[in-house]
Amino acid sequence: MKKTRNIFILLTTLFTLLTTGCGGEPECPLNTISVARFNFLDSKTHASVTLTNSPMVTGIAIIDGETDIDTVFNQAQSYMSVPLSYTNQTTYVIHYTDIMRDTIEVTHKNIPYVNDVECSPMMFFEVEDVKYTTYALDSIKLVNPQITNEERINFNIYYRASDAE
Amino acid sequence: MKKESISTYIIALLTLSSLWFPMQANAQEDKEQAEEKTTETPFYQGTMVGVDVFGFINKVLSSDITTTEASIEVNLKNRFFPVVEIGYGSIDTMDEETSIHFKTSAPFFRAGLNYNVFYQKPHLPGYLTVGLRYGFSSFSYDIQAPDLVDPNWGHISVPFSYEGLKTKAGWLELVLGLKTNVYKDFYMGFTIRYRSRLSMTKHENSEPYYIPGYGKGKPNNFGITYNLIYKLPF
Repeated sequence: MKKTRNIFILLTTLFTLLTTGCGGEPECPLNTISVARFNFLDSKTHASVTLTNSPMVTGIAIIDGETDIDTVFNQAQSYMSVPLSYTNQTTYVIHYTDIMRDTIEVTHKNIPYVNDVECSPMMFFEVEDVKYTTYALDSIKLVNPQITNEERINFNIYYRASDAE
Repeated sequence: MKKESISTYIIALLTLSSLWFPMQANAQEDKEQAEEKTTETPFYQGTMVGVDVFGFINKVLSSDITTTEASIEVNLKNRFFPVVEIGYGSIDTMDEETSIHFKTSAPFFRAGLNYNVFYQKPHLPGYLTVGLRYGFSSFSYDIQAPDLVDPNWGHISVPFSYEGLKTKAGWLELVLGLKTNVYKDFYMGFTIRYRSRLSMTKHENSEPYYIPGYGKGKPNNFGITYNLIYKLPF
């Protein structure tokens, strides 16, 4: 009987040890910023294209009727990763030269998101529409409308290779 | 984390103390063991009802979570124990660092089976069981967070407040349990449970932080119960 009791006590102690470390720390994502990624591709071959003059990209949001402009990406070469504003429309201007620019207007739904009360809230976006000029670029394809803190390609910008290089 | 450790040790002490209750005399046991060898175990061995007191202890230790739970278990051939557990779980918590508030309260339901590892030794003063449960809860929750402020363009803030988000969740539990007879038809029992979430309705803006009967809404977690059990006299 003593043996049996000892077994029961041993098992109970094991239970205790096993459950001691069950609290755990929250697994919060390291990156909480959601950015839209645009890849630059050749319109014919769909191969990656490098923009030789590494243009600057500015972002424009209209807040309470006032236009707010901010540089959102420097030296875009084969891609650009740009934030979206918390309004429902963000406009990007790619400055190829002082006079050559393309404008991309992204209309989006803003989705505030909490996955754990112990982690900071995040803002996700869902792209609803995209409009653009075609001075240098050829076309834009929406690849993934969900813009979250996970890194993924959201748009492909197609250039005619001869224009880009 | 500190509170969880304290509660764990208290539970351990309670469990160990329960095992310290005087058991039957050796001579009597030897006699019973001899009888066991000659008689076949009847199919129906009784019904036990229990309440989980871990939820109360957890609450006393200032946890934001309150769980009350009762169980009914039938002993078949001292080997199989079909069990049903019904309870009510609630949480009302505000994280100090993020200032996010989460609140829900709802009933939950579990059903499953325990298997007594020592079924061939009915003379033992307790049961060591392994078991499986399917758990389910349908609930709604409220969640509020500070306004989100645009980090790039500034001046724009988006409120975060959602109420009455309806959700359903189902999960499986692997259960390791120990029950000890402490006095006549009274038992104390301890289980640890590895829970794995099978399904959960997610919302566009959030996931439930806590699921009644399951715990924190992560894909897997551990849980413990400490039960006071009474064996019905029929």
